[in-house]
Amino acid sequence: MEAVSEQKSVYLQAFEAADRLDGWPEERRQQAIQAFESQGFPTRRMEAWKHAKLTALTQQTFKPVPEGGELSAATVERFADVAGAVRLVFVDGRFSPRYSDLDAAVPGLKVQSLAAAFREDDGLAHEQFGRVMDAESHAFAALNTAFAVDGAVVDVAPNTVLDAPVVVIFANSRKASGHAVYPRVLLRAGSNAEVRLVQQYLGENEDAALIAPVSEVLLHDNASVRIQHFQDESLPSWHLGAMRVRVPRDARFALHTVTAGARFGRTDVQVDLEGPGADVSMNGLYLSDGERYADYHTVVRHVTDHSHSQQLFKGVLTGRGESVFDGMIHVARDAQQTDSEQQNNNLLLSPLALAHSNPRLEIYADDVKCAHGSTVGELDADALFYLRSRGIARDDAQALLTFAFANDVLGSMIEPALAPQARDRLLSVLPGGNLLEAPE
Amino acid sequence: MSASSKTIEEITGKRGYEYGFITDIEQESLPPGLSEETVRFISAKKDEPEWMLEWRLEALRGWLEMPHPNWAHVHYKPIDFQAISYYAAPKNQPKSLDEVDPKLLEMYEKLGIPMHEREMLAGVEGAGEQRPEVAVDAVFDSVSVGTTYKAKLAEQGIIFCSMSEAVQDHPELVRKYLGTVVPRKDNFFAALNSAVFSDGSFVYIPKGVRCPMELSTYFRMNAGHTGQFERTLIIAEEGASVSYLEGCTAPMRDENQLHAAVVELVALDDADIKYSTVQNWYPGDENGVGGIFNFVTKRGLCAGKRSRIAWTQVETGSAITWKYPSCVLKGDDSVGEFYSVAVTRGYQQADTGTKMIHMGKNTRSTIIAKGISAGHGEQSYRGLVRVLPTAKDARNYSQCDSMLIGDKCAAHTFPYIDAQHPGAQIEHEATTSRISEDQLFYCKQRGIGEEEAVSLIVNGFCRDVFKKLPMEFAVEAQKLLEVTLEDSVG
Repeated sequence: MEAVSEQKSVYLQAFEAADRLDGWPEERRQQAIQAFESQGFPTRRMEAWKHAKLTALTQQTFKPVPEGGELSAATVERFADVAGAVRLVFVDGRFSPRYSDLDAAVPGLKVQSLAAAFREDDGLAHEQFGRVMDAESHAFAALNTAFAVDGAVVDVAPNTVLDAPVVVIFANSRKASGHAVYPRVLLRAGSNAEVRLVQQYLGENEDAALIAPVSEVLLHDNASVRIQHFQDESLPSWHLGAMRVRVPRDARFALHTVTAGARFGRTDVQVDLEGPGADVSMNGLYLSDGERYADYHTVVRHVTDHSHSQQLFKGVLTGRGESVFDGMIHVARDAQQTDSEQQNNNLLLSPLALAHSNPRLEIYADDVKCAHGSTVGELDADALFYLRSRGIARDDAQALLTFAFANDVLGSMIEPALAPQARDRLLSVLPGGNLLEAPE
Repeated sequence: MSASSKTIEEITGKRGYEYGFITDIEQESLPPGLSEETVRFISAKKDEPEWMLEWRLEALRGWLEMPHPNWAHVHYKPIDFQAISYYAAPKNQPKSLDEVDPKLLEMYEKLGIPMHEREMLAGVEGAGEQRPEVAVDAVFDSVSVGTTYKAKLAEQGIIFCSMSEAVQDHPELVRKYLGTVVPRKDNFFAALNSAVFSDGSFVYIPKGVRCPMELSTYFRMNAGHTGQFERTLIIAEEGASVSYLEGCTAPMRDENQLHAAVVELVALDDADIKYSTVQNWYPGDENGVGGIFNFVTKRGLCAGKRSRIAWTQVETGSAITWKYPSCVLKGDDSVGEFYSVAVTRGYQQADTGTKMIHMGKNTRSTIIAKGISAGHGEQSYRGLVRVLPTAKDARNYSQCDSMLIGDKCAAHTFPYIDAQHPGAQIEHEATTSRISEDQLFYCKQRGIGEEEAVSLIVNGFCRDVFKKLPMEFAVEAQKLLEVTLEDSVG
């Protein structure tokens, strides 16, 4: 207990030592640090954090990363390269004009950094910053709101349909080692607007770093937002992300997420379906090899009637990997005619890997269609036999089937430009993955 | 008003509870309150050996330090454990069945529980009336008032008696197994039970014996302001098999009464235990006043190779049910099964499910849970399937289906799956639905009345579980379900 209270004051001290902002941003930061101080880091006694081993994280003090980090060419090489896209690159959480490309901005799309938005007293930031995601329920989101100095603010005007996606890249330099980075994304899609967003996380820090991103996404009626999320942090990192999305009447939200990096990688996604006709689709793949821990917590809340949600999350575990999928579907009392579906499949490839799967349903309305399914297992012996009986060697057959299991999710990636990287990461964790050539 | 909404209204209306009477009998009971003195009194009353008292006191000390659990998805006012009387028993303790107070026998008659061995025998003599023999241990408030067929079972070496007698007559067995499956400090209510349990049933099936008849325990709460804390221990030696039934009722009272039981099952090599429950505690009135808090810990240990434990439960009663009959599959090739139908209506709440812990190789488990929620009823399925690294080729299949009747009820599903062996195959499926207008229309179109149609659909929904119940029980369960849902349907 002592360690925790000591830890709290360290973060408070860092907060007090940081530069002050003016007006409402400062107010919200103050509220957030208070919220963090009152809750502290989550403990394993909390249901949502019972598998998360955060002791090492709480014992180390992660202060905000100093300025001036440089990226190596190898890291820049990995940036999602999408032709015609607006690109915002953040190095150690700070906007980097050098790697960014804002030229492709089209009418109806306003993209700027959060630091600029604070200075300008931007309406979108005022409406959304710390307002969509509440700090009370998530310690790391509270830290982010308290410490975020920069981030991406994307505003899509009503009736704007964008062909190319907006690419947001958060890259950590070597300087991030031992420090904390707080990436922030604010996205608003006006009514009838359509936008795709890519969120890529990567880094070259050689020691532990805390990366705690928060995304606040607000859709208006009949808008469409599709997000490609790709977390491929460097191995020693702690990545604890939170995303909150509000989907009103007839709006469509799709998320495709891949967790391939960080020793400890967790992403919490909460989506509220707040109007009839709201539609949500989430697909994810998590890879856990070595001693890596990969965790998805999703909460889908059907607040009003006639909404639809679908989720498919797949996990591949090898070595001593550990994974958690915790998916809650909540159907409120008046949310009649809800149609909700959730599927979680895990493939265990090693006797030391550990998969936790908690698909949950909480239903208060009677005229609904809700189903969830969950499986954990190894490769189907029949399928393996089938391939071997056709002259394919055991190792090849195994690699082929595992690849097929995971590729199912990779096939539906929202941003194909990241697909080769995701596929390479998949092959690198598969036993016998080197036997397969990545298909074009 | 559409047909189904009419049905809903009727279903959510007032229900009858035919076991709600109080038996007026002279009783002695402890004043409310829980302390070391209470535990010493209970132990002394039962003339228990020193080790038993120590065991209880240790449990009490553990309980005093435990926080009240609040993770279950149920809502109730905090229980005042000092306002409960921990011991209540009829004043005249009978020495044998013949001496049992006639008023008690009359009560069991009214409940339909056979307390006379000769009644059965008469049944055999009577033309055509063939009832299978069932040995009964009747637990009335804190004590067992009689056990039938003891002598006949003893011929085969089977011990079937109350827990108090077992502590006196078979201390070596009790000492060896008590608390091995559910440790004293396993959880809050198990610790409370370990400290103050007053009676329960004890079953021991020797090596290679198949129990020739169904064994059953009938729990009845009668006194007000009391809790019932019974403890059941069933041991099946190598190759033994037994089918055990449990039933329970209580009078209608405006207060909430606590029932915190612990059941432990031990199955050695090739043993087979089938444990069936029809739980029909008083559920409270139509406004949610009164009813039993049923907080129970049930766990079976498949200690031996190829052993098998099956839990079957039909839960229609109790204001709040909080129970997770579990199987620890330790022996290689052991099998755990869980079949459950839970009904919540009125203001009933249930948080129930199972745990399957796979430790041995080739262990298999099946979970079939059906939940029906009507009125303001709220229920949750909460289940854990854990496969440890030693459990090579473990296999689990879980299916939980919920049916919602009415728009004010709720159904939740919280399965937990922790798998740590690549050979494990685990599947979980859950669905939530309601009786559709189409199904009702189809039945009515073929001349089946609305009431029958609902009954038909509900029974079809529960069929997978009912067919696992012992014959007699299945009929009772089916009737109970009809009474529960139907007395107001049409």
